[in-house]
Amino acid sequence: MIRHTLGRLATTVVIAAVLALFALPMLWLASAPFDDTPAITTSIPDFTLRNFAAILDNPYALGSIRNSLIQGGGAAALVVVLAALAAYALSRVRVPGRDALLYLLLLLSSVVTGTAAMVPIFELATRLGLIDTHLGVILVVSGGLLPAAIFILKDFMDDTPTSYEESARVFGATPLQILRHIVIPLVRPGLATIAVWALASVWGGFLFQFILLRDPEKAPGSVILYTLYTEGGAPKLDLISTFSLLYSLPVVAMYLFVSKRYGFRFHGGIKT
Amino acid sequence: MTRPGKEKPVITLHALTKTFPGGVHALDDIHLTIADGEFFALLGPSGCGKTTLLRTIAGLETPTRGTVHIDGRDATPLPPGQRDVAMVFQDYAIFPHMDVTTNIAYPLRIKKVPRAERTAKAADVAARLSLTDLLHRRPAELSGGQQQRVALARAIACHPTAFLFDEPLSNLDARLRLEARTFLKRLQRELAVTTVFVTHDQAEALALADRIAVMSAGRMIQVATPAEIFHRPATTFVASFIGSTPMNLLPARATDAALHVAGATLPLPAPVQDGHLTYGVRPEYMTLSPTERPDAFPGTVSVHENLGTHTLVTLETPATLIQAVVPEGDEPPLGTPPGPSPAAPSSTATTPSSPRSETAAILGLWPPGTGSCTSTSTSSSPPSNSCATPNSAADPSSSAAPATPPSPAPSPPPPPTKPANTASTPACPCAPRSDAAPTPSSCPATRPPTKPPQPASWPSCANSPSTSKYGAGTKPSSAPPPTTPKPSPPTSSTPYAPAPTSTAPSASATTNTRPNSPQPSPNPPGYTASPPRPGPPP
Repeated sequence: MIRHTLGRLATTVVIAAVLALFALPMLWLASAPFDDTPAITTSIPDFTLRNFAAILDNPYALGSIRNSLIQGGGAAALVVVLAALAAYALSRVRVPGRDALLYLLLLLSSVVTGTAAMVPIFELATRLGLIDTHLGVILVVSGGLLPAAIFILKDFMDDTPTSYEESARVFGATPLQILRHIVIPLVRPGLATIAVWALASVWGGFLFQFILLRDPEKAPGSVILYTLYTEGGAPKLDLISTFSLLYSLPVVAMYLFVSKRYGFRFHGGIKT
Repeated sequence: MTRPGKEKPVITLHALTKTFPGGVHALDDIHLTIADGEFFALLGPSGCGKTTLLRTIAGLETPTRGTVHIDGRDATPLPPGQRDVAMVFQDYAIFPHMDVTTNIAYPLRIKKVPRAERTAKAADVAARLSLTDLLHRRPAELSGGQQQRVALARAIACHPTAFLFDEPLSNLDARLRLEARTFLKRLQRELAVTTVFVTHDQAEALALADRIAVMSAGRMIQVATPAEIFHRPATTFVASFIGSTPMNLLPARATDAALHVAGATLPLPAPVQDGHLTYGVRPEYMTLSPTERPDAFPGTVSVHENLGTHTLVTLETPATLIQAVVPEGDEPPLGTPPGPSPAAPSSTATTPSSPRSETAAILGLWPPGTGSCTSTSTSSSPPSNSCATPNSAADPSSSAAPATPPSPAPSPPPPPTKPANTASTPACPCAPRSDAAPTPSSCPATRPPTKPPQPASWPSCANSPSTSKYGAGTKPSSAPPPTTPKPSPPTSSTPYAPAPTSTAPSASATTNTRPNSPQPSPNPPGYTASPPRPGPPP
């Protein structure tokens, strides 16, 4: 009995410790922006909104959130469209070596990271005139996300019975109509998942944006965050915490919206 | 029973062949014409190509060779959407993200019919199929039967030239399936739209179709009306595939106007050349007799299978197993002769070959009918039964058969102890015959042990039973025909009155040479009425 109690106690303590490890930064994020003198520790804030006024005075802060939306939204849209088309084709057409191709792409995109390919990518972007453009960032990050997105979406497509499409074909639907009327609605939860994942990846991404964008006017929030230091190199914790909070809100809001609107579930069909 | 008014062909297939990449011949030179308004079934076991054929008609598969004409047009090069057919899939394929109205109206949406008009049309069709209350539901909120009706409604909404149904009933549970079957048939009659449906369920095909095409390995084995398929199967494959209980297929030998089958000598049901052939008779057309008779298969009752209102009785004969359907309550005790005394039972358990065969029960083969089933049966509507297909392969063994008829030593009549008769009505519906009559005990009961003992197990009736103990017809069992209480119509003058009675389920035997033939039975009409004359005069 005692042993049992001790066992439970130990388990609880371990779980609490792990939770604290993750919760404390969140707690800091929630309290520091409202603290007059934020420190690296979490404490009851000395309440003020002065930090928000200060960050709004920063010429790049709000613009960077807009830039993040453009780059994240653009990449998400591009990834969803291309991945959906590619996954549909790969799911429905028997291509020799299809699975090997998919695994190879997945492997290359995750193992050979963008960091390793940074120099050639920069060289390429320079020659194509894509430095300092949103498009350049969108193309580069989309390229990194596509293999995984295709892989995930193909599974969704595979789960959709072909009889739905054949039925529509017999009624005279064109391939594009089939895609629009039948396939897209059926895999919508998958598309929503991919869109959220792509946007979140770009939102938190730093390296490509930092390298490809020289003009702070076009820098996204993740890069601007890096500039919130004093000239001496010390972090301005008040600005950093406040901007971090502002920068997180759109993503959280988006997640809640997508989850509510599309639901990560599948409309039941016929059980076979 | 093709329907009247089938004038013009709606679907015509010519030399249709489909070979899949792996070299699999899914369809092999199919020729078929389906008339306007016809309810046509494609029947066959899994993998026989029936669904591929349906999909080829729909345009979802491209034939390797051959043409598909729909409503007079060559549809072979046309995409599915331009063939003016509507298909209902096995899983119904109603779109899960659309409500019932949107689903039904989908074909109209593709045709760019204005929204208001197509919604009205959908409501109209839905009303015909009792779906009005469900118009705003999603498919996931519908039962299987309702989903099926939505799929049908969607097909109806586009007013096609033909409906194509792929196993429309197989996703429903057994009870619902029967209701849906009736519903489907009524609907098709009302709409009078040509319908082709695929099924692997022979009962479904028999119940629904005006005509049936039985397929096997990509080929059409037989195309005919349900009655003809049932009564005159073209091959042993069709014979064994159709019918809720497997047809008895017995190796037989024809000689001099008589047929020697599993220990019995029967009149030829149809003119055939002498030689080996397969004799087929459905269990439903067999009756059991407690006594031996020359036109019956002697054996021991070994298994009862309860079918509800009837029981399938398996009789072990020396060479094979023979099954008969008897009404509930009339089952002979296991191991005993069928009709009679239940008392005697135990002793009989012995195998047929054993000396104790006295106990053996005899199956009276129903009809010594002659000619083709169809002809004979005319009078008796339903059923005639059997058909034999030429099954050359089977034969060889049978050759042994000719063994001389074992002695018909009369032995004490088996069990007729009790006139079970009354009780035991003839299994064969048509055959009123009652074996009842305390038939002649004269029959030699014992099965000559001589016979080749071991009965091959069922299908492979390896050796044909040699004995034809009793000459066909000749010895009518003394049984007084009329004795049976049952209805035997025209009692035959002959002894076994029963048999022949009109209904004779004729068994048609065809020689190998002529497969199924609906040959004209020699003596058609009169025949039926005629007494079980054993030997039909070829």
